[in-house]
Parts: sequence; structure tokens; C-alpha cells
Amino acid sequence: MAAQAPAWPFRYNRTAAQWTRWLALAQAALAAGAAAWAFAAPAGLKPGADDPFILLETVQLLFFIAGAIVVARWLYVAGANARAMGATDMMGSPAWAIAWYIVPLANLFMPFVAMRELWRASADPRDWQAASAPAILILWWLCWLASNIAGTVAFRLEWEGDATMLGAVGTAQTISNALFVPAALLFAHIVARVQAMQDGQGPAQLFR
Amino acid sequence: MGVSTIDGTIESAELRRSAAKIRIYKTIVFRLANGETKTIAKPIAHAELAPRLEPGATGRFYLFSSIDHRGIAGVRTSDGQAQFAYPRNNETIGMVLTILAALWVGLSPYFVGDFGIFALIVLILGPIVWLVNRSLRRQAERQFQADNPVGPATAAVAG
Repeated sequence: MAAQAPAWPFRYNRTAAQWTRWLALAQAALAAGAAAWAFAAPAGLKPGADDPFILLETVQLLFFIAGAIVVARWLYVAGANARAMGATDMMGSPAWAIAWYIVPLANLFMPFVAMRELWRASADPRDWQAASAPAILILWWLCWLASNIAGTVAFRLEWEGDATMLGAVGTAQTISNALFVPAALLFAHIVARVQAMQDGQGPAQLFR
Repeated sequence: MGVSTIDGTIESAELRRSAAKIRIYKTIVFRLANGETKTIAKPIAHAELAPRLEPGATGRFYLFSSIDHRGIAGVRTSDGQAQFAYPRNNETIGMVLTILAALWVGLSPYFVGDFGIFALIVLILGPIVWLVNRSLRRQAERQFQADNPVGPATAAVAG
């Protein structure tokens, strides 16, 4: 009888983790630059209204899209690897850790819950529900949420097209960028830690 | 989302809260046959099942997990006792939300004139919560019945 393949074979994920971290750091740098520029820009240039800012926003958007693709790939494989290491009764399939980001209302808390679960399962796969998760996870999620809320406010104000609201749009964008910096830095740290925990427990031949 | 089993002995069961038919535990820790422990964090159980979830209880425990919501739906103890009781609180919440949101969306044009995006989101999410939990309950029932070596008649099924 042929040996049955495990439901979740352990897969090499270190390269995706590195790309995820680099893109998170690049996005943090861009957001910090955008926030600093908003303060230092010459009089008359308004964030969200003038060409240099639009160019910067476009670059940020491109990095965000690239980052989202790489993060999705890393999250999926990391979730599958946690299961391959012996974690049972995790939430749904690894794909849910990604899908939660686009489910209305649930995207306010479920991505955090999924990331906390991934951390615990990576720390102690056999008894992950007894493992603890550090406070940086909460800090990351609060910064991410606050940054997104400020970004949404900026987008909605800009969408209204009221020229008198340009100052408020700029302020909301600057707040969003400023909060995105710690969110991205903490995320890069979380990815590094989770990956290190999984590397320490995965099949040795994958890491030679 | 799914069902699973644990064969072992309950080492500790720390009750956090009791509602009418529901018991919410802080943790239930099992000692497995190989000596390892396995912790279930924040599990819920039907009140009828609670007396069988005391430290020292040995046998097969039937678990379910739905999103970030875990629980124990059945027990077959080593002395031959079997009980199944599924906590239906989330299924009921989903059903009630669906009915309320449907009424709100359906009737608001006659009374308020419009309904908000919140009602629409609840109308989408309510049935998902309802159907996912209903499907999970049926899966747990089938698993418990199919795993019975003697026959369905010996198992007390509630819920």
C-alpha cells in the first residue's frame, strides 16, 4: 500500500518571509517619507491634491499591492506549515487567514485572531492553545486599524471632491501614513519571529 | 471549521462562565495516552455535558471548531457512558440576526424610507453564521453517531 501523503506537507517559506519583511520595511519608509514630506512640503502643495503627492501615493499603492501578494503567499504557507508541524483544530484552512482581510466587519478583528493563532501554533504546535502571544501583536493590529481608518476618512473626504476639505484630507493622510510606519515595522518583526520559530521546527533538510 | 476527537483524561477544566444552557470554560487540559498535554482554550459546552467534563473523566471527547469558536459536543467515557449535547447558541444567534435583518431590510421602505449598510451586512453575514453553525452541528452529530461501536440507540443525544 502506498504511503499516504500528509494533509499539510511542510514547505520552504523563508524566501517569502524575507520578501514580506523587505516590502513591509519599504512601505514603512515610504509612509514615513510621505508623512515627513507633508510637514516639510513648500506652501501651496497639499497632500492628495498636487502632483508630487499623487506620484508618491501611486508608488505607495504599487508597493502595497506587491506587499499584499507576497504577504498572502507567506501567510498561506506559514499556516499550512503550522498544521504540518502538528497543530490541530486551527481556524478553517490557511486561506482564511488571508480571506478575513476582505470580509466586512470580520476584517476588524479576525486577521488579528488568525495572526495570533499562527504565532501560538508556531511557538508550540502540539499544544498551541496553551501558548501565549506577545503584546506586539495587539500593538500591530491597533496601528494597522487606526491607519486604515484614517486612510478611509481621507479617501472619503477626497471622494466628496470638496476643495475646502483638502486640508482635512491631507491631515487624515498624514495620520494614516504616520500610523502605518509602526504597523509595518511591527508586522516585519512578527513575520521574522514566526518564520524563525517555524524554521526551528521544520524538516532540517529544507534549511541546509 | 470542523470536528475532531481527543482520546485522553481531563486534567483540569476551569469554568469561566455559565449561561442558561451553555458552559464557557477558560481552558480544558487533556492528558493524552502518550503523556503529552493538549489544551483547548475557551471551549464551550452544553450544560448537559458539563458533568462529564470534570477532571479525571477519561474517554473520547468529540470537539468542534467554528471560526474562532471551539467546543466539546460529545463524550464517550471509558466506562461505557455516552452523551452528545451540542451548544446551539451561535446557530440561534445567526438565525435571529438573519430574521431581524430581513425584517429590517424588508419593512424599512414602508416605515423609515431606507435601510443602512449595516442592515445589509448583517443580512449577508447572519445567514453565513447560521448555516455554517448548522452544518457544523450536523457534522458533529454524524461523527458521533458513526463513531458509536454499539449503535445510535445507546447514545443520549440532546442539543
